Amino acid sequence: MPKRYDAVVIGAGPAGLMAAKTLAENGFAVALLERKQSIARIRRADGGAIGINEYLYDRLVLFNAHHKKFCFPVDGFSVPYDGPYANIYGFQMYSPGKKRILFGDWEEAKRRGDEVRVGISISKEALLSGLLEDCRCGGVEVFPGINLTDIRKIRDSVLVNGDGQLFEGSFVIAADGVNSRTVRLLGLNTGRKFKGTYRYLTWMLKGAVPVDPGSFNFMVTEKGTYALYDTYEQGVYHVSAFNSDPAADLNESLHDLVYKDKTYAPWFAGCARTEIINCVSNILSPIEVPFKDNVLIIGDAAWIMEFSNMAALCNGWKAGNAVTLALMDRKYNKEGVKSYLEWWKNNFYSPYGRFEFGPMGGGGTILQSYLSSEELDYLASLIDKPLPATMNFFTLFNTLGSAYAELFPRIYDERPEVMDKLFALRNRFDEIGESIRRAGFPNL
Amino acid sequence: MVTIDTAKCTGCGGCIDLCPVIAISMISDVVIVDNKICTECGICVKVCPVRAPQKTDT
Repeated sequence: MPKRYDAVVIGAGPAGLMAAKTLAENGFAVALLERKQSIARIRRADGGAIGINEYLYDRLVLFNAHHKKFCFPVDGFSVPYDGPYANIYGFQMYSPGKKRILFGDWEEAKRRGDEVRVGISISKEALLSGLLEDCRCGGVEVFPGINLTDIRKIRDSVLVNGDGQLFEGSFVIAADGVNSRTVRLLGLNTGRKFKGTYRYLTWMLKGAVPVDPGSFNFMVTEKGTYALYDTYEQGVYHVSAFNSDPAADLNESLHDLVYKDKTYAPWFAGCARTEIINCVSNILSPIEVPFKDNVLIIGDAAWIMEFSNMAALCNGWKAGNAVTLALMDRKYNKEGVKSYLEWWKNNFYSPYGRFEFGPMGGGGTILQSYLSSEELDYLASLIDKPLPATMNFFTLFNTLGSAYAELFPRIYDERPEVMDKLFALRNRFDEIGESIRRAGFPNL
Repeated sequence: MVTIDTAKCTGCGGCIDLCPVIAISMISDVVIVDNKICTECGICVKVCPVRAPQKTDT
């Protein structure tokens, strides 16, 4: 006989934990299933950051260090966080020859600190541990080490099979991430547009890397595309290679940067590699109505790519409350959770669901196959004043796009051959996108 | 058959998610291939950023 609950939550990341916690606080019986044994331990590469004090998806996060809380004034809830943290002041982009595009005034950052931060790097383990503790105190039954093997609707409830253990709930909240098995088992991936398989490899380094403290850096070298950022722990850096081509050797790519690159390898001299983390993300178009057979799909499981910790927490909070209302109203159907579905459509799907990052998000050497290192240096050096600081990637893309749009006449004048190459790249966006799709492995 | 080099595997779960026949699962935080289900398509081998899955002849 399956164990019976008001709701079963699949996946104990920020979205799932927040949903389970909210439902338990509202007085309902909840089972939380997670395939990892050590729930809070992070085994997947992650930016480890949370944007604060600026809008993202039309919502805000404030951080109150005194009360040890993240506050979400748009939606009206807060999340406890008593882990370590460090300020983030914005992005910086480096060309092969170390020319830099700055987002944010880094002298100001040094002087004014907290006042001008746009994010903080956190310990995601501390965030998840805090939420897990709240779940357990609230009476959530937590089941670690459970792989989802089957899910089906039977009469008015959903039956979840996890490695042979059966769980039954009036509703299921699926929060199992960007490559969600729940979504796949429900057959919902077949209606989504597949855009590629993106792979990330991150080395954790200990030492002293000469980047601005609190900077989130993107680097384009002759051999690859990388992200480099410091963490909440002083002297600990993450450096990641990413590529949408599964044939690319990410380990070799990181070796190229850290040990061989004539411009950047000196930065890492004396660094010790302490850990390797990685992840694989299948990029699929978002789900317009993330509900089927009494399963409500939230967070990355219903989105295009990796959302953000902030949006995951908002999704979990809203889903927990929407399912609460459905249970109170005894509406065990789509109508019951319409408060979530409308909120999702109005705040996420409609305004942001069709945003195309373009093939440049694939990293690797796409940009380098069109432009030489010298040309990339030239393009980076054209932006000689800092652009506004942001952690919002929509703003980042738009700001950078408009900055270059203004520079086009100058580029056309000074370097017409570079302008031709930029046009060629632009004209081949669809073709590049198609080759990324073809190289990937859709989990339909 | 396909085996996982547990010394290399970081437990990110990418192969579990992308396996077309759901032959891979996480048991006690270790990734395990069920070779009764596995069709040796090789996607896990290609997709793993640290090259932990390996095809071997038996």
